[in-house]
Amino acid sequence: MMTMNPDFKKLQQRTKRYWYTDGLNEIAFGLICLILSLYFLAQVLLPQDSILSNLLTAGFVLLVLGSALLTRRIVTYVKERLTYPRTGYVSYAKSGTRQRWVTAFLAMVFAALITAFFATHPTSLAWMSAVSGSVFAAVWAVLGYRLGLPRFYFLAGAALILGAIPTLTGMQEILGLATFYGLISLAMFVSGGLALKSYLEHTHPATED
Amino acid sequence: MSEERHSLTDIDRLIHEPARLMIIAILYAVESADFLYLKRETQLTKGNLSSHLSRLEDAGYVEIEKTYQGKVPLTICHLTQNGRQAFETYRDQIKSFVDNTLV
Repeated sequence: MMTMNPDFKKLQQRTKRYWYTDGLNEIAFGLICLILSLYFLAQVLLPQDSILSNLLTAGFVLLVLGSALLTRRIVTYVKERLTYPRTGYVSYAKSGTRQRWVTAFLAMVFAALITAFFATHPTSLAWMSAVSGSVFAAVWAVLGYRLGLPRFYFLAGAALILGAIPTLTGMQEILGLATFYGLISLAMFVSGGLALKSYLEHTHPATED
Repeated sequence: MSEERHSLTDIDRLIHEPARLMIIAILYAVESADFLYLKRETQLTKGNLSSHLSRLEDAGYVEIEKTYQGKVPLTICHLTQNGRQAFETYRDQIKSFVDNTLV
């Protein structure tokens, strides 16, 4: 006889965090951070006002959006072949138009505030990696709390520490960002890789009953 | 009959059955889930899950669609608006009953 789990809240929370169960999202997000790290490193290494440097600066938004779209496609592709045949398919309701606009508006306000602060306080540029780390930490902590995923708290702590390192060591700001994104991508590869390893060890492709 | 007792006897017995309640609770949290996911999470046998899903489908609470995700054949289940409404009503009734119970 089967055992009924009376904790429906946990059942629903497990369903909501299923998207993150295989670690693929962290690996994909780590890939985006690695691209960003290489982008900032190129900015440091390339001579200022060189054609390549200007091209990189102009193409920043395109680079971020392109890598986000590409990694999303890769995640979906891998999930179709790895996750869904093992533990099943779940799709999540997209947030409503109003909620998306509110999120986009808040993100723009936040970005504008940060930009204005750095523009009016040039010495505070040294804090860029620490601020980036704090933003990452806040996002991971909220996700960890909402989904009940302890490894996201580890990522939040890592983001906070890794963001503070370049600032506290007095690293030049762009190099500091390159270092932060490089290190946080490594943390995400480790976290995602371990989650994926554990997922593969504990699951097997479904067989017909 | 008191209002509380009346509200308890009015409970939707189709949802009240534990296995179906698990299915509905899962589907309520997402847009849709496939047969394999539901089977793993509820730990029901294939036959039992099919039977419960059929009953929920007959009641108009769940819609079942056979489709493909890439090349993988999927049996996708999702709650209908009626199903969502029924679950919310059930939840409110149970909560109200528990709230009015002495500890």
